[in-house]
Amino acid sequence: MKTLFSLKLWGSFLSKAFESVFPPFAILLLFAWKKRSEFLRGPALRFFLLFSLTLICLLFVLLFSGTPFEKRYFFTFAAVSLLLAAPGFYGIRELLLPFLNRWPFVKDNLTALLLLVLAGICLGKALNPSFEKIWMQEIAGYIKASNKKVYLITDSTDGRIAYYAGAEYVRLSSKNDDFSILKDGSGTESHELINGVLSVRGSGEIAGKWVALPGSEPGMVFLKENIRRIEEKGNKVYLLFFKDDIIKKAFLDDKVPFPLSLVKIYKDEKKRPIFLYELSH
Amino acid sequence: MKEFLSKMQRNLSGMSPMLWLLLIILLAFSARTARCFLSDRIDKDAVLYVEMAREWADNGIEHAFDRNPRIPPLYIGLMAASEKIGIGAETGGRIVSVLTGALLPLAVFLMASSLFASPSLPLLAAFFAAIHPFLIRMSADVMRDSLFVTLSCFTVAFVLMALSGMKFWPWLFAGIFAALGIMTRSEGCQIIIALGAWICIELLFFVGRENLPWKKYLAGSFAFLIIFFGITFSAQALFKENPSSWKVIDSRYYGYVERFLFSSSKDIPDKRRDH
Repeated sequence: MKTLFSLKLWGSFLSKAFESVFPPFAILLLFAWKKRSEFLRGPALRFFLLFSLTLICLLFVLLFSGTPFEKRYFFTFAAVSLLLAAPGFYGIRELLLPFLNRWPFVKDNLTALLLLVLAGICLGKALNPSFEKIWMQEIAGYIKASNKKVYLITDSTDGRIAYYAGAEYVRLSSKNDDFSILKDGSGTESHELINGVLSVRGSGEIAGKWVALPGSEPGMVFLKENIRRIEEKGNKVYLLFFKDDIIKKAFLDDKVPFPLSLVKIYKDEKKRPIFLYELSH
Repeated sequence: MKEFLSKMQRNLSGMSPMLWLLLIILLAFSARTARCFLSDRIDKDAVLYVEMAREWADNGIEHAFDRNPRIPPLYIGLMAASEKIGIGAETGGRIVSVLTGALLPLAVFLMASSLFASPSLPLLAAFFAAIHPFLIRMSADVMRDSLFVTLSCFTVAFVLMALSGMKFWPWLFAGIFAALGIMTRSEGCQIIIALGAWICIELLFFVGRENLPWKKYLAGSFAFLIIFFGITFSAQALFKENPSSWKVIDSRYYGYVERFLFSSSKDIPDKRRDH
């Protein structure tokens, strides 16, 4: 219960709730009380209010228990709150009417005009192309341009770039990773936690398990050789590092010369560099 | 111009509510479809869903849930079916999201019809559901949210119909939609909690005061629970044979409540943990 005193969590809860309801509808909610007489009183209304309260309570427990929390968890609440926003719309309309005597056209068509403005704001926001994480598509586009089958070796847990590019997602694990890797996918023996193990997700019998890339040797010292073996089969290998300094330090620690040449540096939305490499020839 | 506007106003006000509702659903569908063409970015979790669905379609259900055994099976199952018939898991997931998202205004309309006397308010609420920006964006993503939100709203709509119209049949539909909801996201249990709380409050505070058919309500709630648990426990039994550990009653919720009661603010992670 100590989490209840966390201002950060309260801020997060309220901002996510407000944001997901969407500010224009949140304003309409404020005016719903004015038109509360529109609701039919009875067991249906009581159930509806209890359901809304249950939604809020569950989200509250979820966030304040420290569970990773996303805005989308509020979407059921956002949909339900629209029922309360509807009477609020007429509340605002009634509030504006006395001020519009000088503009009879606006006064006569106020409902239609308000709906048009609201639709404009909402559809403008909804249909505004999102450029968030556009760097992912840029990197994927570059990788995709290769006319060979591509293996994307990366230190990231996010498989989206490889997915967009239609490439094989290969994870380069480090000592700090908390997962075990099955050797060649054949048994339960796992690699010791060392830097530079190439691993892929298994399928069939070993679906979901991280499996050492068939034919690869674990360790930074073998990375060059592992890449060469993949490329000898007519494939292309790109390496994408988000923690470039850690990877370079791992090579340094293992006293292995850095075998890669830089292709391009991309920047994410927070201007952090992402390094795309290929094997030096 | 004035004449044209007043003529248009006369024509529009003469339209039946059902025609308006149909236009609102069409607007919802168009906005959601348009959004699909504006963003081809998918969520990190969507890649997991696609891979699970492909595994299910290619190698059978046996190992499809190994990546995340707790995921409820409905959305992944629909994506796997799409992959099997050649549409592709990602496209199938998007189609499910768009179609269910487009039906959300209908669910909101049904809910509002039981709560308001005025015929214009349900249409207004449905219009809001059609244009809400995040509900549009949600419906263009390969995520379970669109399906879940619509199923939840239909569940509530049928319960409200049963309570306001004093009919029995909506309880059965509410049970079916609630079962499908919990087979999409574990949060679907909220309807059971709300129904339990509602029964307790009604019995404690309103039974003697209001002249309502309580026996009919209790019989309806009972039928709802039978349908709900009948469908969900059958599904759970079907999935027991493979590594899916999905359960109707998600044991994680005990953990959430426990952590809520006993955790300190230092235990709160700053970021979402990667898999």
